[in-house]
Amino acid sequence: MSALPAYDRPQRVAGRRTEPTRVSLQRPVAAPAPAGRAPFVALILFVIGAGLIALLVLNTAIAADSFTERSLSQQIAQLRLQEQELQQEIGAAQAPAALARAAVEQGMLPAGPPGFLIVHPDGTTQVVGEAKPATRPPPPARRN
Amino acid sequence: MSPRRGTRRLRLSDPHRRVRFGLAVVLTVLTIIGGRLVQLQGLDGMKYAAAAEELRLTRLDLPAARGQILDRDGNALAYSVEARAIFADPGMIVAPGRTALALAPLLATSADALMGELTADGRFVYLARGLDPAGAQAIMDLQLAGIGELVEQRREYPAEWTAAQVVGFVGQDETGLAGIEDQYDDVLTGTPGQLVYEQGRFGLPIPAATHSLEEAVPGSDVQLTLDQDLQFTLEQALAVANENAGVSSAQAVVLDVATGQVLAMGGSPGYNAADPGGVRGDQLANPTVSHVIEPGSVNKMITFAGALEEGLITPETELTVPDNIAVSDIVINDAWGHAPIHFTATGILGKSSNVGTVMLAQQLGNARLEEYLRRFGLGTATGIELPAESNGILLPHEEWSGSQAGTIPFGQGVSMTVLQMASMFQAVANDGVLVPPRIVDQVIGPDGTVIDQPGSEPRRVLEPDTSADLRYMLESVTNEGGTAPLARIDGYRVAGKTGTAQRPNPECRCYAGGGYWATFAGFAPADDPRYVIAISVEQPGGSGGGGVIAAPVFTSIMSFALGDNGVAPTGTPSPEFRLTTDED
Repeated sequence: MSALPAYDRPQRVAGRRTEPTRVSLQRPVAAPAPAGRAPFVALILFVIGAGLIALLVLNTAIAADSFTERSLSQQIAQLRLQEQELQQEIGAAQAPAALARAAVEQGMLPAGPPGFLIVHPDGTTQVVGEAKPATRPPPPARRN
Repeated sequence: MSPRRGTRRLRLSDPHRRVRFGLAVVLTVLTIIGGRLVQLQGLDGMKYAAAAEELRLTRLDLPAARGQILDRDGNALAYSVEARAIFADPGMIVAPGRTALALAPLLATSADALMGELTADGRFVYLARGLDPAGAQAIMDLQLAGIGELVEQRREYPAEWTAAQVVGFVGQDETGLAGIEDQYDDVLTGTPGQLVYEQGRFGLPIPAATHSLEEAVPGSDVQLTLDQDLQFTLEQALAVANENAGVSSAQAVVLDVATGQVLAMGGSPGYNAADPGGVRGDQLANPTVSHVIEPGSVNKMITFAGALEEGLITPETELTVPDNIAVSDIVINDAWGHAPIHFTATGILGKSSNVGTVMLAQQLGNARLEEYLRRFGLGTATGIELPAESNGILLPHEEWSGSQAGTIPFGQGVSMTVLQMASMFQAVANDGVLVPPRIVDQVIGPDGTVIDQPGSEPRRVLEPDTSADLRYMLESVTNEGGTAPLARIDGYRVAGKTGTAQRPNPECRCYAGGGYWATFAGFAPADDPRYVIAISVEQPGGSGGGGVIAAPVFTSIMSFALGDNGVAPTGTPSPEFRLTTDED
């Protein structure tokens, strides 16, 4: 700075002073500028604002979805456990020992020897074996 | 003072040195900072980023369901359900007394017992395992400090006692300890998965953050050849036999004649697979493959097979049989005293004459007898897919003692499993082709693909003619004059062989006072065999013969097998059997 020539300064100051005259010369040309800039700025602001809001909405939606997903997967887990419980009940009820017990409770007996009705290709039938009514006492239930 | 200050001021005031010194310091510091920056960001950067993420990441182990064990119709004999374990962290429990009192009714234990666990050393103790999720939820709802739950699997055995000896059971950690659960542990066990996600403040997954799910791969299902209903019937029949005086245990095996598949097998007393701790440890085996018995006269079948195959006899060959014969240092008697009888070969088998059988065995010779015994699979495990299978005991004939050479033909001095006994009759029923028994039908992968199981290699044991002759002779056993009229089934033709073997007395290592094994092996229908059944009833305190004790068990199992599977009687009458040529 100190190396600059001293006469340079006034010239620069003078130059600045002449500036307003230059601006006034350009004013008719640049006149629409402030009027055009405002909508542009508004547009930018609007875009930014809209983007922010959209982002917020999107984020909220994702978060809400994750809550929904969580509650639904909890529901799935709940239902799966319920299904499992029912399957267990069915499994226990259709075990041979349980079926035998249930049959005895209803007064049923193990079947005697079955008879067979054999239909030959020529349409004649033949009875093989002799079906007998069940008379045997039910086998004793297993002692646990 | 002044000169020193002067010098210092002189040196510091030298601008060149000062600038250079300052530059050096600044560059050094910058190099260190830059280097550290490169180290942190460049070299170790990934590590620190990962460590930071690790703080937010939650890993959740996803247990893999263990495969099911199914019977031949797809009924589940064993399957896994989701369960909960309740644990305590004794270090976190503030009021053990109150906690114990609150938990005791829900865990069905006493508060005193819980107190011991809640005040134990350490940071982790299981309070209950295998709880239903609903029950565990009730406990978690109490919000007790230091009590937590874990997700685990629990094994269910809906059929309880039925097929327990085949299926086996698992330990607390779901590893197989017995039966198929043990043998197929690798197949049944799945691969656990893992869910990794970034967790927010309230334990919720952070949306759109790192999230990886490695699905658990369930284990494969194992489908057995067992028929659940027939299995139940077999166990009921054995339980009935076990109630006879002097009987300590009973075993039976049912094979499909054409395929050698095991349709049912088991022993009484059995156990409840859902509660294997309820019986003595030695009752947890599958006695039909791991216990050996001396078969008694059932073994005569092989002596006759050898004699027929070698052309030494036909069913009609006549022999004059006294009621005793001296072999080496012992005298072998028939079960009943009689004057010499002119038996046919069929009669010797049908009446189960020891003396007649020994006479035939002497014609056959020890070497050939041993060869036939081995052909029928004695002395070698069948290779069935079950753990702890016994080979049975059959010495090489060079090592037979003089008396063994006399007794092996009628089944003393040789040991076999009940499965081996069933298998040798399967060969006779199947026109002389022995199909080694199998119990695993198929393995079904988690995606439903069926993994083929290496089948067993059938082998010819007898010529078809020989086995037809033998079937005829075995049918005489259940007919007029035979030893097992009780094995008859209305409408069907039945063939088989009884046995009554002396049981060694474990106390004196001799036969005296050891009681008997009553055995029976047979098949039906005799002229178109479908099922083979072998039975052994152990009676340390009884002396019932196979025809009295074991044959009725055969009848009740076989009549169910035939009726339930719709096997109609063949409708042909049994042939006439000439047992003796004596006129009486």
